[in-house]
Amino acid sequence: VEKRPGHSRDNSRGHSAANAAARAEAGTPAAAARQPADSTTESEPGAALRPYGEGGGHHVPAKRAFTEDPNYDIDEVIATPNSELDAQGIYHPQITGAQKSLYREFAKTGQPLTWDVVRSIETQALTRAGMSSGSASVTVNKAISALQARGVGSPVRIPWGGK
Amino acid sequence: MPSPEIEEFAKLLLQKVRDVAIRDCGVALRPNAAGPVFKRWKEAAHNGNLESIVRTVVPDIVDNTVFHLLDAIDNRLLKLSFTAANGKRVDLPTDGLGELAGWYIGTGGWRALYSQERFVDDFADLVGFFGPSKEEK
Repeated sequence: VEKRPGHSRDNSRGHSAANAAARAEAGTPAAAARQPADSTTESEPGAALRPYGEGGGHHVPAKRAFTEDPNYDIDEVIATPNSELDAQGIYHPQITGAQKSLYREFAKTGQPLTWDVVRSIETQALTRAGMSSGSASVTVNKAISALQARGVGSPVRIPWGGK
Repeated sequence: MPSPEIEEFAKLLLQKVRDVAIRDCGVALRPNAAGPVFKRWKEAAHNGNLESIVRTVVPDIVDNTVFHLLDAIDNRLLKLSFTAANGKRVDLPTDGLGELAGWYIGTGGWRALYSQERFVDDFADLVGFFGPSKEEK
């Protein structure tokens, strides 16, 4: 049996949840080291987004945070479609794996989930999967704005955080 | 011939799981392929021997396929149920809370808990990302 960690743990651990949003905006040292050289371009358009029912793909943000909101419909809310993930060279499990791992860690802090924390975690997840930080930030902001325009309220629960 | 319902299941399984997984893995061939998995594959290919390639790529491809099966369930594309040893039946899209794929692929997830074969945890460095848990403080 061989179970190998993909990356050794780094020195970016140990920050408080209170400044989680700021940390993810800036990126951890490890995340920054993995970012493409052209990252952090503010004018990047972000990923193309479509309703999940039209193009499948990846829900941004994680759907479990909102599925109890009456204005949230997993087929109608926008997602990064499979075709866009392919075009951007993104491997879908990398995004979900980072989402789950980050939300799970956040749940351990005992703090409530806010839009800012959602924004930071989702941006970090896209960045770790290989999207530039600028494009990831724009993508997440577009997705959150679309949810809010539908009337979706604040996050209801922490995905992978238990009932 | 199987019933129309079984054929419908087969079509969804092939298109929403097999085809999506193949396309997802095929992204590795794109010049802009990004992220640690594709980097790992390129390094294995660079080594140039079949053993290195197979040892690296096979578990990732299997994980990708299982991931897309669970993702299809999470998104209600495959409405499957499971009957446990105690006889209780669970509706996977509903009772799985849309989190099955994440429980599988994330750090400390089902691969770490239940698999007896090799895998790479690309998210191990995220443990403790937000500092100590409230129980540890």
